Amino acid sequence: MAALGLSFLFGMALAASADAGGSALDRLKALYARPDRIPFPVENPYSPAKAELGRRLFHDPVLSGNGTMSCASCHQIELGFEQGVPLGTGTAGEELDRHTPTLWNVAWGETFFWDGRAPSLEAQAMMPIQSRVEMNQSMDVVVSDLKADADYRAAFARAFPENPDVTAGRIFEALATFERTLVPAPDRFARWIDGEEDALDAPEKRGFVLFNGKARCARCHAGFAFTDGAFHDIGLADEDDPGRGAVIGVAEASHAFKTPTLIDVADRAPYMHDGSLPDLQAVLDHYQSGIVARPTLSPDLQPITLSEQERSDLIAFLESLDVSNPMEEREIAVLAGPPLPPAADAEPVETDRIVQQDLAFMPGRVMVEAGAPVSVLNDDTRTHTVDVNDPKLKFTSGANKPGEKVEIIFPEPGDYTVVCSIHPRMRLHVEAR
Amino acid sequence: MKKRTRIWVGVGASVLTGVGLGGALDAQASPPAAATAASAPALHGPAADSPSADSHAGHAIRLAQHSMGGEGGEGGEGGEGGAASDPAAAFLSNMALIRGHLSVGSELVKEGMWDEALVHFLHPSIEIYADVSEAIVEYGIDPFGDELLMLASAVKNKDESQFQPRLDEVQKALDGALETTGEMDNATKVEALKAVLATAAEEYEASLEDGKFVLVVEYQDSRGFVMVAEQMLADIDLDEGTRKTVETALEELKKAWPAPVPPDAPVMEPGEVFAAVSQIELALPAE
Repeated sequence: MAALGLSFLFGMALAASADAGGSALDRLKALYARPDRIPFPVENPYSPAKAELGRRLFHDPVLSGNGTMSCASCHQIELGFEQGVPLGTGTAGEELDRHTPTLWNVAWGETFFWDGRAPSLEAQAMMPIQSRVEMNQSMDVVVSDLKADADYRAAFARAFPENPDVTAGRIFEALATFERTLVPAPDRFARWIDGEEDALDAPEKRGFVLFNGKARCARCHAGFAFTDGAFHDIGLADEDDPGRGAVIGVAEASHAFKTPTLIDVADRAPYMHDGSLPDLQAVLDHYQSGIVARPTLSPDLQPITLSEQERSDLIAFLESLDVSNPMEEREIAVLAGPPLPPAADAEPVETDRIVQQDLAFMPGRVMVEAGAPVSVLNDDTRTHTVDVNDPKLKFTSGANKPGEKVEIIFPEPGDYTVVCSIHPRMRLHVEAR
Repeated sequence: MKKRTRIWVGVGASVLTGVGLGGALDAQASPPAAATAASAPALHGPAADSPSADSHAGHAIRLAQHSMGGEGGEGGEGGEGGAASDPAAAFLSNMALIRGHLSVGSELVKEGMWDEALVHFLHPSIEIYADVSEAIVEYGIDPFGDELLMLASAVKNKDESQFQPRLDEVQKALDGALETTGEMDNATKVEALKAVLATAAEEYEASLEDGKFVLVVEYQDSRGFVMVAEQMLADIDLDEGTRKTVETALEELKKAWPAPVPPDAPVMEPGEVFAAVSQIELALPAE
């Protein structure tokens, strides 16, 4: 430094104190920034009164056939909205087939249940209530009981002022609205992401880096919600449960289940869709040496080797995802505010050849000729599907394996959305002319 | 994924013309984008001010531009790449980037890939040299812009007889430059290493689009930067435990670049490369 001239030294010294520059760790942290808005659907917008009605219904055993069980009986906040036992239980006390899933951040979900069989939270809400082995209740009874209750009638009037009748549909809408407010209040990890450097300690930070790197967790547990929303066979010894494969009729998706969020994970033991792993150590054991090899295994799953120190750091990080409470109503109201201006859509590309590559349709927005064949080539390492659920066209491709091609004809002019049912965030927008 | 536009070839030719080597290369009618230290007006001068700067996302290590009256990173130039908060570290890391380019360029020359190598010899001249030019003056370092251009010229002409001697000249000049500055303190070396690795990670990310290496030059840049980072690490004082941790992480990181020509599919996802670099950042002592 002795050779430095004064002008150089002074000029740079100002800069040095002004900006520390961007590190690789900063870039990694940026991937976990929470969105600015909770995505309440246009057809079921947020209102505090509707969320409050949903909260009340969520905790009310009127939704169960024998009046002993509410949604909150299984989705317990102190257990990360899970139940703390391997498998869920119904009103009769019998075990269900799968572990109770958490409700944190369900607002951002594309599909619901471990196998994704519900396309919306509203659709999801109706199923456990009416399931014989779960809450075993008739919606006619629920509607009748709620109509007879003056408090509930008033609550429905506040929640649905334009049409306050108590209906099954509005019950599901209110429940879904409440569930969409189950967004964790910023806790240690969120504060660290927001720039509070001391919010995590050194082992937790090292664990975060391992999570994104050597341990490969972020390949599926990606982003602020710690899930890619996709379905993976992670090699659990659950030979009898076909998972996503049965829902979409694709054998290649057998044993595949939706990636769960890791928010509040330490409170949510036991783990996996079958509740077969009692603690986080067992989860790491599974990924290090317990994976059952079979053809449907997710290509995103690769062997990992971690030292004892690395395991300890990784678990420290996972435990740092602890959450005290959901956000309060006033915070939710801000996040449920007017939608931000939409990003400008890319111009559609005129083509009849589409590629599935790296978990995306390429291009993502196309213009095609109605009635003419369009090909979708899988140039990825994963099996995909090419599915359309539109009044103008119902199309399911079945498995489109790597290297294979699907031909699809859009029969009439209009807009279509094409999805991969194994990786529901893969979406293709089609304009047929 | 960010879209980036490269302007290397056209600019490279004009640069060489501008410093009097027009006969060596195909001359283009445009003003010089970089010159020797004596004529470089500012740390971010010619390259950032050129009409092409908006479309060129470079990767020199820069200081905080807004605080220096710079462009604030809005135009692409300076918006990419790592940053060092200490001027000496910025200088050291830019010198390392030059070495990284030469390193991967030499690998390509060795494979007979002269055309592919050229950009890696032009880049130190047309971008990074401008970023160290003020420091060269301030430190009293013998300018070596001409040596860089002569080396690029040898590569452009695929002149095997001239390549090694020119490379040796540049290496000697780089060694001499660091001797002139004197021994940097350990914290400066650490910060420079972090900046070089962060730049490597960014270049790696930029090279990939939808799981394919679409920008091969960026892949090669990042490979060169990681190669030189290994040399930088050897020159840093660390306790035994930290050194072992960093070396292990660096070995893991290097797996992303199995060869000078990228593989069909990435060995590591960009996030995994950022994670591996983050692991090194966390292990190294804080400044």
